[in-house]
Amino acid sequence: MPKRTDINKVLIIGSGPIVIGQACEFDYSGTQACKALKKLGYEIVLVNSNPATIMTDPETADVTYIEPLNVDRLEQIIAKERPDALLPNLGGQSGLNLCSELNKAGILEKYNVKVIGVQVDAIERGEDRIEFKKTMDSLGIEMARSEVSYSVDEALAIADKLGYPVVLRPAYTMGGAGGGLVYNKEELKVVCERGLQASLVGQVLVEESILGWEELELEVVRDSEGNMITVCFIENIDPLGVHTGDSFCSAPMLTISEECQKRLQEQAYKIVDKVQVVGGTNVQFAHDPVSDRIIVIEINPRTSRSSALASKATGFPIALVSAMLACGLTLKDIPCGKYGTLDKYVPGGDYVVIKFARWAFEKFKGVEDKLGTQMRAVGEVMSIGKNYKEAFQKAIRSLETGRYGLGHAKNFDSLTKEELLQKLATPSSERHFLMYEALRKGATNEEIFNLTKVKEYFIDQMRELVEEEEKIMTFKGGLPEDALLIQAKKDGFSDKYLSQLLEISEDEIRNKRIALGVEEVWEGVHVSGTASSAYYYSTYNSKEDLNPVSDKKKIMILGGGPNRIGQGIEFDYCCVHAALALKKLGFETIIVNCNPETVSTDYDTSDKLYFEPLTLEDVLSIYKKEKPLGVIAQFGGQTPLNLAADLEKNGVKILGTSPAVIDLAEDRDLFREMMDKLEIPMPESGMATTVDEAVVIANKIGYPVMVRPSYVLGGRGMEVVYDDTAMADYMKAAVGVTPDRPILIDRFLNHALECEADAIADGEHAFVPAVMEHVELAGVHSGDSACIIPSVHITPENVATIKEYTKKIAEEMHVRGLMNMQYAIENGKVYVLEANPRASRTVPLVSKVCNVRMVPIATDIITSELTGRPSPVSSLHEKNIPYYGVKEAAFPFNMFQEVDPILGPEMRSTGEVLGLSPSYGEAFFKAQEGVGSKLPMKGKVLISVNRKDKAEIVEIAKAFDQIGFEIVATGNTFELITGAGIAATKINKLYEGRPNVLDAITNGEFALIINSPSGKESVHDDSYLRKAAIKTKTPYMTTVAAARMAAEGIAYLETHQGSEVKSIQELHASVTDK
Amino acid sequence: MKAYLILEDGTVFTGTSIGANKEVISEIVFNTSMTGYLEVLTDPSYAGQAVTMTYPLIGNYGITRSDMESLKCWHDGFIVRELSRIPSNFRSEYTIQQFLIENDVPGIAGIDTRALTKILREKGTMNGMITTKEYSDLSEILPKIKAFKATKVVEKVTCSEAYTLQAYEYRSNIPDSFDGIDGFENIGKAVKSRKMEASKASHGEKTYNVALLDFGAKRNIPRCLCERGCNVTVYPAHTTAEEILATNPDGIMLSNGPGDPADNVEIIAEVKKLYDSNVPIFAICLGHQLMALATGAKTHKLKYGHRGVNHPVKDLKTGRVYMSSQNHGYVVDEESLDPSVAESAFINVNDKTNEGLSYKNKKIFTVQFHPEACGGPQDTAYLFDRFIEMMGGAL
Repeated sequence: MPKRTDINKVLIIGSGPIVIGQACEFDYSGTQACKALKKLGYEIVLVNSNPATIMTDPETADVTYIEPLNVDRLEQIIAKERPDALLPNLGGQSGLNLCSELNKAGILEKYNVKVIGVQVDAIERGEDRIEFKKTMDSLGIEMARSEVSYSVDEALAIADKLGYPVVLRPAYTMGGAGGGLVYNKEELKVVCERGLQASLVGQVLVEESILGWEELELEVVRDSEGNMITVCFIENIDPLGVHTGDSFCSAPMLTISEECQKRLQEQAYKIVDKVQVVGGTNVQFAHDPVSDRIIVIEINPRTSRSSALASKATGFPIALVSAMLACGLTLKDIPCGKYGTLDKYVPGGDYVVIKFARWAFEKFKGVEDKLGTQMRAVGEVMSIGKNYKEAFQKAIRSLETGRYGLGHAKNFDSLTKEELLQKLATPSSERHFLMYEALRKGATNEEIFNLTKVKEYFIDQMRELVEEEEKIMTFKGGLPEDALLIQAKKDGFSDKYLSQLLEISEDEIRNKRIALGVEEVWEGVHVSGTASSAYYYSTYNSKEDLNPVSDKKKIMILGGGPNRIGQGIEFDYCCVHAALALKKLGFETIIVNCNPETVSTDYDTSDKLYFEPLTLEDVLSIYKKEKPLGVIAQFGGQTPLNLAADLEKNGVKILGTSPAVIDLAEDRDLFREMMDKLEIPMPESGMATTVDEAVVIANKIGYPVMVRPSYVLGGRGMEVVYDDTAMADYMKAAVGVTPDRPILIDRFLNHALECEADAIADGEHAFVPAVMEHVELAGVHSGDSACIIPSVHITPENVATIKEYTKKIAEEMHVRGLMNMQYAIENGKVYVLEANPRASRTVPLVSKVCNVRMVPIATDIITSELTGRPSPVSSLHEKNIPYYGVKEAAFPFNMFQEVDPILGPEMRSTGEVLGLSPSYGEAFFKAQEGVGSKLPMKGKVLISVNRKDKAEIVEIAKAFDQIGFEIVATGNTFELITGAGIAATKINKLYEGRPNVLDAITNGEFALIINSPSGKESVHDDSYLRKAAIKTKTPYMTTVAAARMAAEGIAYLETHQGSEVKSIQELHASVTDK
Repeated sequence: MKAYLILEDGTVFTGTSIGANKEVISEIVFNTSMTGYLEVLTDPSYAGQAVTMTYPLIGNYGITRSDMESLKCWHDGFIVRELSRIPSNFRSEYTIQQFLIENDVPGIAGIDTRALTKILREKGTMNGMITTKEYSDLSEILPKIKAFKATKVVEKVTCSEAYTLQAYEYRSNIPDSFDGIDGFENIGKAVKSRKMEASKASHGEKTYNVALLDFGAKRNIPRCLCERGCNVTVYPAHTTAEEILATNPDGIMLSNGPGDPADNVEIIAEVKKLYDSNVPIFAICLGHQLMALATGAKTHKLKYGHRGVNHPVKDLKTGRVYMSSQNHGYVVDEESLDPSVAESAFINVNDKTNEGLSYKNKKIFTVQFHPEACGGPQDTAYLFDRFIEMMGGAL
């Protein structure tokens, strides 16, 4: 069937900020959808609040809105753009939910917008638990025995009937938010309440426990004529009980019989046909290996994390195809090299794909490392190998957790078998590492199976690795015998891990194996829907290299690896742009990355994609094979930077800023020396490796001080320390502190305005597009702070100083490419905090707000030594930007409810949104709206602040009073406010009797909460207040600065009409040269 | 123990011995299914062949006898990259290693199956030897390997006497041991099957009598018929047409089977007589080839055959493409068809070879692929319904 001609303009909704359960896979699927629709000749209107995406690039869609994703904003956009159709199933759960809401609000009908891909009632059939159950009943497909509840009491009654444990699943949430497995009534009450709040419709399903069953997923694609194919069969190696987003998975299914897979497919087809999805659907099953019962768990009638994985695992671009199918094409209209057209696709291949999740428990103090039905992972890696062992070990070294093999993680090898087995009883992020040590200590397959329900095949494969490792370790201090080394390489042991086991250098291992002729060869994964595209994975289990290499001029880009806090989609954005720019400059591009969620691992982003771990071993092999002119390491964040120096040592040409310069910036002594030379002030600082040293330095500088380890990303381990005891505690807890990697101690700048600047430099000159002003004061990690661009409250003199310093530093360091500078302004004086001579988190933000293509320009500079092109820096001009962008961070606190959601020097946000407006107040307002905490226009505002903030709070209260808010305050705050003549009501703190502030929050009395943490000086823990705010979804501010901005934003909208929504293309057209 | 795979062109792969410890010469073919190794191992059409699995990990979910397609393994040999040491499936009763030994099938593991497949694709199917002996001089044995030809394979796999399966009856063919199993002789006990019961409930009372000529039938063929309300009488391959027609069957089914179809001269003569009768006939794979040969067409050997679960076939009548399970080394020569007798009904989308015929003025249609699947896609199971209709409409 040809494409639909009754539609011309298609609206695509993105998935918003990166959060747990919804990551950059939706940038990948959305970007693919845009490609597909563009090719078919449709005009695309795209909405997403997340600026760090490729999909929101002005070139991706025809009209792009970076606006909050809610019904009101969408209506404004629909009214303005009048699209004919809405494609909702590529923007994750957010996109799907929003489509439902738009339909319910009658907006789609009002503006005559057709929904394509998945019908609104199909969303309901797929997502609404009751509807879904009805549908399954009519198809004769079994589900877990369950009933729906709308209250805790109902849930308790159902659980009594089903018997504990039971699983609670809230309707319309993603990543299993708010759900969980409960073993008793008390647990049920807690989790059920949370679930009812999390659910869009206040509905929670109470379900029999299917803990320990096999969890199996099928990715089905259906066209409008009802043709269906199964793209991928995925087996969760962690059985039910662990959310599939946290589960370690393989594709294809490795231990599921053909007969069972057939039944799964039969049922999946029935379901998908009934729900009538056009495009991809993820169907999740549970299979009880004992009774052989199969039940369907859920379906996702949209692209998903699993579909991104399935796409990358099989070479079948599900999102691309789904978008084409939604526009009326059928599977038989879409070409597919090997099979002719797509209707003939059947999963093939002779390799194993493994997905392994990456967590961030270390970022959230107080959160137990425990996996359950609520997703905890912040990212994932995918690896491809010839056999299970090879793929598994590749996945481990892809994770970038400092582990290159499965053994000897943490202190696990010093635990006894009993201790290890005890730890295995509860699923955790360390499960497979614990299993490995347990096997070493003599645990049997059966013992481990009984605790984990991981299939014996996988346990036994691991056992074989352990046995092999033990054999290898008998050669400690030297090289193992040849046959053993060869076998170890075939089984996926990395050079680095072998060197750790044997206590010899990695070079020795590498040289030896190369001498033995043991080198990686590469095999291709064919991309369906294309004639001959492929991407490559390495194996030591083959002799023949099936990877054709061109003799064109090539450049290799190292990607960012798995998403984690501090290293997110921004770096993928940079890598993708670098690849596109290099193509334009006439180079063949090679990308190396292992993150299946990304656009950079889309098959046509680069000319050649290697789906490989970013380790010295793997990158060097590719380098040797491809012989590129050079490698770009500065766009992929910390991952490739950590590799750059080793690569250079091994003869790899690193393009752009040299690794030595990166080291220089990290070396506090050298950097300070340079700042002294340039006469640029820095906060007093020092370095320490022992408690005594640290205390001496801190006292010299004066408390409070900021402490952090060197060489980390996202401020990991960073803290503000107020006294000697805290300092001693910090130093004792700090791990891996060595003279090479000391703890850094800086003076904490009091009440300082923090700001940052990104620069493009060519080694001699630098250009700074804009200075960004942080809303939160110094002490809050730059990744977590809201930020205004261009700056508002920084004096022109300070802006000039910042630009001048930035240029000076870039020039002095001979930065070639991008650089990010962090500053703080204390009492009008600008201090340098740090320099990062690489692409930063803010690159997409600056590029989009200032309409400067930072990465392409930097790429041009980086390659100028090869192309001989003149530096573009001199042709860059400062611009007048007649609007503001405010970035706000999105936090996973709703997923970690035990955690106090205060901001500090350790980064904890997973994603970000951008608000755009001619007024910075409104831009801030929109940014808050974007992260889902829309500011109120009226109502009660609770103010309760700590001693430090008391000085400023009167001013804030006055502002809220003036715009008509009713002020409620606690204790001293109340005295202060009323003392200044502002009307307020007093409310009890938690320990002051009832009704108290917690009651009021729980009852939803407040429209807004302003609460700064009382901190360590207070005897009373006040975190309950903020946790309650999150639970009740009440907008809250934890800093005075943010409260001030909120007041300004609300005041602006009180007095002005909200400004018209403008596309990024329109905004860019309004930018003029200075 | 070390084992070698020696191809007739002199290529030698070194691996580890698996299964029975014996030397075997056979035709080496490859199968591209990612799962379903048990269905492949017990498909009688592989008699006289040693099968290479292209998917690298084999045996992970063990052996579950009730999933077998016949009562034993008919392969001459089995070639894999990695054989699972421990199966991980609650239903599993044997490891694949035990199964191979029980069935006296030798094999080799740990070789680069992708490289082997590439050779077979490029040079075509060839013979090979699996052995644990080290031959220093290949010139001695290569002629012997080259000369091998599987003969009388249909005789080997067919049942020794006729037996009947009642409509909606589910036979769980679970052998106590694999010794001395011969085709469908041991038909096992009738057991309850939810699927069959559901099927009976929806079909009603009317039944048909179908004669199934067993050239090495996979179990799912009679099962597909039984679940559609047929009483199936399974006959040995050399049963005469007269004997079959004397029972007045409502329809005749010709099964799949191994070997070169043209070798079955006597059977072809009987098939011709069945053609001449006016009984509706449905034939699969070898049966399809035999019917073509019986009506004057020719067959030829494909370069490397179609073996796997992802072979696209096109229904020429509707234009629709289906994924099919296939296992054949020979194919009907379309050019040899007498247009007044039969016309092409299905073709293979990859190489355009014939995949099915519909016979003119006859209630006969035949397919080269396996609508009964197991393993592989069940997209074409509707063909069994078509056969039922031909016999007198849906039940």
